[in-house]
Amino acid sequence: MAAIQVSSLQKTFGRGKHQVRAVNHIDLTVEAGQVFGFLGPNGAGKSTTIRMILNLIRPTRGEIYIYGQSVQTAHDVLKARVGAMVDGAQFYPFLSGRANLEVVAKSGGVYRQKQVDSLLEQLGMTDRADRLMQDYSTGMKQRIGIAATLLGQPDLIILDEPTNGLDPKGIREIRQFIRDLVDIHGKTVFLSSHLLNEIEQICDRVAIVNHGEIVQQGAVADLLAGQVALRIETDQPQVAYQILSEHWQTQADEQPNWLTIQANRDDTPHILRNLMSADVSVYQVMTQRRTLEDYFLAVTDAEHNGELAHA
Amino acid sequence: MRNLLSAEWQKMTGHRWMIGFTVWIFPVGAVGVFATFILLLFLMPDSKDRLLNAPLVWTEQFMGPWVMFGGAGGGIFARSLPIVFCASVFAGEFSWGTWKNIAPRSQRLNLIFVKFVIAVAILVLALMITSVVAGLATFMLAGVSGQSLLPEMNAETLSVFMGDYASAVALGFVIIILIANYAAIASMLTRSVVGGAVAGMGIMIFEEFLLPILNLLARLLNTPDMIQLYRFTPTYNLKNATHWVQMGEPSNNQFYLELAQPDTLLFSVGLLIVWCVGSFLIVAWLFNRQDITT
Repeated sequence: MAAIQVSSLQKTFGRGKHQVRAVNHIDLTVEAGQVFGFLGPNGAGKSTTIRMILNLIRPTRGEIYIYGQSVQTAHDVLKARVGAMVDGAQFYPFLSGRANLEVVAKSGGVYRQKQVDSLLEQLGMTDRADRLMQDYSTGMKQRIGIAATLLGQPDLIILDEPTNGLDPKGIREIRQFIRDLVDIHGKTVFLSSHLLNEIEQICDRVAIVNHGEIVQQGAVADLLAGQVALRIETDQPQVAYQILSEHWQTQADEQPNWLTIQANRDDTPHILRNLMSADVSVYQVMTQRRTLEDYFLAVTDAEHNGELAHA
Repeated sequence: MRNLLSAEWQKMTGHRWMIGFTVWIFPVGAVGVFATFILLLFLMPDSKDRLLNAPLVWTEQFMGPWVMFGGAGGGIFARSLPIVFCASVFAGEFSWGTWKNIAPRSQRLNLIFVKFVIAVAILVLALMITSVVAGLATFMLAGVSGQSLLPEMNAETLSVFMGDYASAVALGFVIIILIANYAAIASMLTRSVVGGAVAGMGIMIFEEFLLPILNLLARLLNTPDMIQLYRFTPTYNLKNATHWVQMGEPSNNQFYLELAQPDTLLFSVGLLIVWCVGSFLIVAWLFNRQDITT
């Protein structure tokens, strides 16, 4: 059974001239037992979608199911099976980290002091648990935020920017912690982050959202399969650009006389033939594996360019 | 539900500066004022007559805190503190961005109801302590100064006092519920502590001065019946019920004489219950239908 099933989800804010469609027809399935990455530029509709999944915002249209139960009608499914951290970790600044966890646990009817203590220990916060939240660094707040999502041992954990403010060591720890939640404890993690390197390392599947719509979704390995970029060094980069951009997405490289071409390895002979027939000399050709970041930028830029072309 | 109540209590009492300056200030202030008086009586025994120039009426001292929110002048000032407290309780969650943590974990109706119950309970507790402090301090003042207490303590006085005190507590309770509801409605609409406090005060002040406004409008528009609308406001019914309880007759404020007929105690009590329940339902409805975007 899917952990999250979203169909035809729409959200419109405002009325008349001020109407803004934040989410437009999102269909999404998150299978249980995986880390699912939810990516998109700022204002793409990620947070609005997450808030609708958590019933914080009412959808204008569409259905949301958590483990087969509609969040709009079966409210207890959220209480019983979901732990979430939205928009980073936000807590009562005048309470300690421990007290904040106690309050969240009591609010959900899942308060057990042992579990609070155990989570503080797992997240490395035991020594600092009794300090006021307002004295915490962003990274410490994030750790308390992640601990809060695990109160009551939910099956589905929704994390919005969980590694914000953490140092590299902390990021690695949290990354491993999230992976263990899925691999060892059998949880499902729905993760929204702008750190694409993180997403690539941690997620099994991703969905890329832009302008309120899902533009790509699939397994990370599938999306990146065969995705390479070619870098060439030439004596006439402008001529080469004109020739290549007719067939491939081409851009000037950071280094002078270098071009980067979004193409597969199999395209290399065609590229070279095209350039040589135009009497353009090629000094070096390098293949470069595309990262999720490259893929994300290519997908969102393509959308943007498409829009400009239509305009 | 017990866990929810405990969480709310932990949050409200944990916000020490806010609760200190808006709620505990009443009992602490009472202790301070009376302690100062007693100290001055010890230090300056010759100034006794100047310090205690009014009779020590213990019944009034016990009941004072319960009726202090009801008056028009000082009452409005006194009400501003619990309004700020309630605004921080209801709007604080928006300001801190914490609704996002707790709203998916519980029914919204439960969350708002529990906030309401604990906020009212804390305010009632503060008034109760203040009342006890004020009452007991009067006995101490009498002991230190040698001044006699009024009225004389006997079974009959005590019996009358118990009835009056129960009525004062009931009215104080109703005022607190209305204050909490006004602040909650304002907080739900503005989603800000400052906005909630200012708008809550605005509603209170507007209602307090509604009678002269209606009176003026009725004369200007030549519609004398317009003034009858005032009979349905909480302020009028609170004053009318208080008068009934204390004097056994309807309010005789000169403005009220322009109303059609004196209203019964049952009418005013019924109206107050409708206001208390109705305004809470408005709060619950507003919260239940709104998108939590902060």
